[in-house]
Amino acid sequence: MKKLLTIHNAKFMVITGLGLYFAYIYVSGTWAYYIDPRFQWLSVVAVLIFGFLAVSYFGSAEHEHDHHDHDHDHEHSHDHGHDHEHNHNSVWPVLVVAIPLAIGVLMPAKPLGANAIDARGIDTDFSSVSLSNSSSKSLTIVPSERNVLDWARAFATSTNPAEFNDQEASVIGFVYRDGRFDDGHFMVARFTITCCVADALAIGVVVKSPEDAAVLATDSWVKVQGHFQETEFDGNLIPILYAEKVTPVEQPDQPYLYQ
Amino acid sequence: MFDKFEIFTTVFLGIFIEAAPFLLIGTLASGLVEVFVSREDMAKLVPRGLLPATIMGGVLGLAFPVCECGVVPLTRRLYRKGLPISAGIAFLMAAPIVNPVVIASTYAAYGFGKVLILRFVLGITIPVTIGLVMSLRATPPMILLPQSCYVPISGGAKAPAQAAKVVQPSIIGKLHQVATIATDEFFEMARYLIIGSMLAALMQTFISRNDILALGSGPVTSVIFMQVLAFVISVCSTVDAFISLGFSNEFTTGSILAFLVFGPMVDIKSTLMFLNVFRKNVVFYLVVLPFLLTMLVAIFINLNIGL
Repeated sequence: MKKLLTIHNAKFMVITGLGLYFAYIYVSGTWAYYIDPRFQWLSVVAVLIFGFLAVSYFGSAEHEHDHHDHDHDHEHSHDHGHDHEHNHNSVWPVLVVAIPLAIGVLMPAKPLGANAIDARGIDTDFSSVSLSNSSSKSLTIVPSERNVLDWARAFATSTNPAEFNDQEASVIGFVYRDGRFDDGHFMVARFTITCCVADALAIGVVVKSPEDAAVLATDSWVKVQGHFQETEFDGNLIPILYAEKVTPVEQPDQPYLYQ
Repeated sequence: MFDKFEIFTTVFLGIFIEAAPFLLIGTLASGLVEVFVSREDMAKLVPRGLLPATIMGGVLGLAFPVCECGVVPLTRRLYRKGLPISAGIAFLMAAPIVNPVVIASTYAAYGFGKVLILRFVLGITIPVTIGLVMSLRATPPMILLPQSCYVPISGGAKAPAQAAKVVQPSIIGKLHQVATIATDEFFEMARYLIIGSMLAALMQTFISRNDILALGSGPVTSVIFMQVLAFVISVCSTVDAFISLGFSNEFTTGSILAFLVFGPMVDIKSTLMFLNVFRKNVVFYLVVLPFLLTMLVAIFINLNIGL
């Protein structure tokens, strides 16, 4: 009777594991690779509920289930075809629920980077930047403090790219390039998220590099300092950041910008 | 290829980390309902007639701030307590829209105006309509899986166990019961959430957004596009308003509304979770009916109102 690896024990372990995983992403800060800070508290909720479930479930013996299963038994008698749908002792649900835990533990946590842009696309002309109530906030930020998203919003709001000529900027992002960029150009890009990475959108500013930009590895993080100048790029007149200095930097703790 | 796998895992974990707490809240609520709400309470709560009961289901969400993940286990539990079919479907589809959190997030994104008002008007009327349609000439066993059905208390061998339970209801014992029910239910529901999140993450990894955008933005195609998008990206209804903002410049108002009304009612992960509550053919109607109704209304808005 006393088997160690019962479904009951497996469920207990998966729940405990998930609770610890949520605690880990909360404490280590890797939550920032997955969700918007507004939802950080959700991880705490998850830790608390998983903890409550694990503690209570651990003590519960199998006979607790008798009561619960019993309710369905007489219904099942007219419909055996659905038995498997509601068998608390089936191993499949436990294995499936263990998938995110296994991936979370085994795969190194990594935020979306340049290679994720292939499927998501990125515009050089800021046409996909969404303007909401919070966009106007970006415009009140002094130009030297603006991040990539603030600049993108400023450009998307403006009808005259020339108005940004000679404005100084200092922005951090990862290096992105594709067929549109020659050796002298690259894009300093960021992902913006609203809720979680499922809605991530890439935005970026085109940079004209002072020297050969090819030495900068795609996906590496850089700080670009320079000034904007209206220039034609890929068929559009857009503000391009003429870099005076490009310095490699560490990936920020919060790699995404938040809409 | 490993690149792609890394993107997939990040997006998948993102959806899971965002959605799992909501599912936990839903299963916990379901456990609490099981232990603390009796069938008599339910009978007292539900109004008599079909229409009043269905409308009550539609607005019940105001009392339960759950999104489309948490609402599924809760609905099943309410069914087992004797909630009528039509009211349950109306609750299932309306609660992710008509709830305080979603009202607040929609207000934050769009302000007080047509989008906010229409979202909530449609968010009640479409689910109530579907609830009424689905309950026409159907009995609960034709709609629900056996384990979702109302179990009459006078069930032979069941009676003594029930009596025994009444004798020892310490609060610790009850909480213990809540946890056991919630845990078992979490595993049942979470597997569908996880498979759904994996599908959504796969699509995001391999299908380019620009390809989808290129599908056009006419009064009809834009609506269909936004509904398919809502189904595929499966984002939580508490935040979808912010996500739709990203499309509001290029897309018609009708299509934005379609996204905001259809997405919370049905998406990949909730469809899979429905399979734990309803019969397969019923799940089919629960996807198609909301899709068509939302589409008709949204196209009508585009062509006739032109907001």
